[in-house]
Amino acid sequence: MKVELEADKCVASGQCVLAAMDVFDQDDDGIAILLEEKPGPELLDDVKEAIAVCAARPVRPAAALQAAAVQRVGARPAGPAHHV
Amino acid sequence: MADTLAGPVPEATDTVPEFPMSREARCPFDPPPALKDLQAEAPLTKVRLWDGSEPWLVTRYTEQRAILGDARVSADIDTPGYPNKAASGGGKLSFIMMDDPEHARLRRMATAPFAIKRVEAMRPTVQKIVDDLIDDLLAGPGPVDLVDAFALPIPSLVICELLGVPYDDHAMFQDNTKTMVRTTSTTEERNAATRVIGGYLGGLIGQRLAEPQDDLLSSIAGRVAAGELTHGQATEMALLLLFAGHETTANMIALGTLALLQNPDQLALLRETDDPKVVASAVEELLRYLNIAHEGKRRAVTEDIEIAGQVLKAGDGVILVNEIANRDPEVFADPDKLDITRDARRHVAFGFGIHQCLGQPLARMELQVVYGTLYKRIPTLKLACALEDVKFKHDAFIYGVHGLPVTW
Repeated sequence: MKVELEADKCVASGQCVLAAMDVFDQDDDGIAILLEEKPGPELLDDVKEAIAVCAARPVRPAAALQAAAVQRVGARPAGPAHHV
Repeated sequence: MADTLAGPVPEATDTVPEFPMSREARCPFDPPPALKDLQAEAPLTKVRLWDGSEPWLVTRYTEQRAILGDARVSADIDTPGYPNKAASGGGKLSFIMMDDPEHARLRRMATAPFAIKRVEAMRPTVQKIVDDLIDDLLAGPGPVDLVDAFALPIPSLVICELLGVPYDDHAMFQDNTKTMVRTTSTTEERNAATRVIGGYLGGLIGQRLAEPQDDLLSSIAGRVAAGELTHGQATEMALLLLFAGHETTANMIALGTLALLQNPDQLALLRETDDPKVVASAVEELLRYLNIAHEGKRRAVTEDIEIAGQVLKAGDGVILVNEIANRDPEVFADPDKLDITRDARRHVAFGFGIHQCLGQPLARMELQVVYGTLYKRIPTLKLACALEDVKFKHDAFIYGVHGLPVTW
């Protein structure tokens, strides 16, 4: 899995940090920064969630993940709530 | 009386519904039934506003997110077709009513204090504010108005601390904010209220220009000194942050408490947990369920957009009501049920796209502290009047309750 981030589009809502704290952080102005360009499979769900909630869409998955993430947008949440 | 009114009357064949619609008095937490009917019928439909204009109403979650995330819509009230909430008044609220690139330039001047780590660093301060206010409640007799004694002071104290506004002046900015958000305020009343808070904040920014301190007002004043903002733009930005920082969270605290009191099984889950994840989940669900910003996001189309079998033409207005998006049964199963154990994180209570709420990390943290503390400290908390006697803010752009008599 490879994640891309376009920092110039970030609106600093902090949602990606809440969803995937091991992958994203923020600089002093709240703009998202990527901690891990190639997060492991154990972080896949967190990254998908970050993509889904990203306000301005600067967080992008690589092509293979994108299809899966798009499918997930709007899907019914499955199982109990899990917060990262 | 209707029969004494002169002028044209709507034709009987007229099928474009008026917006906004009224909630069902017996279901104060639910969107207007007419809105839900429109959602069931189609993802987009036309509605008629107070001025006779007929913008699009976007009823479903997927289409709302698509349009709010689309660069071909404008949030600027001066863009042709923008669906106005009222005749005028209040002017532009800084960057939330601007488009990129100016929107992004101004918004980025205010983002730093709302970064997750900075907000987390404020959590102990917020916890102390909440604990002290509960001590005060418990020291006195009930019943009390939870809005005045608890819900309004918490976010007001927090945003004052963050901005560097003296809390002693809270009555002035709280009262004028009420006038600004009251739907029945006249243009003159709304302008006057905006001028009072603006004049006050403009004065504080002037002071910070002379003597900078460690607060957000000083940082905004620094932009004025650097020639990046006019004094007027700085004042507007400060007004937006002060206004959005207290009025919204205060309504979430009071309305959320009432919703929990009406759903004792959910309140019990919250009261009995020590798990911050359960509390965080409850905050997301209450945001989804309550939707206090109930008047709808407003946009004007700047280039034709094809969506859901319709074409939104340049110059069309668009209204996106998050309260029905968050009750979309395609996205949230059994959407009218308050269920703090569901994963509600993808709600659009803070909006979506580039204008998504700037202060949401702070709002989340404040609500986590409040919901995680109040019902544990006062486990016998209960409503001190009948639900029918609670006055809901049907007459405000931000929904909530005017007062909440509680005892314990």
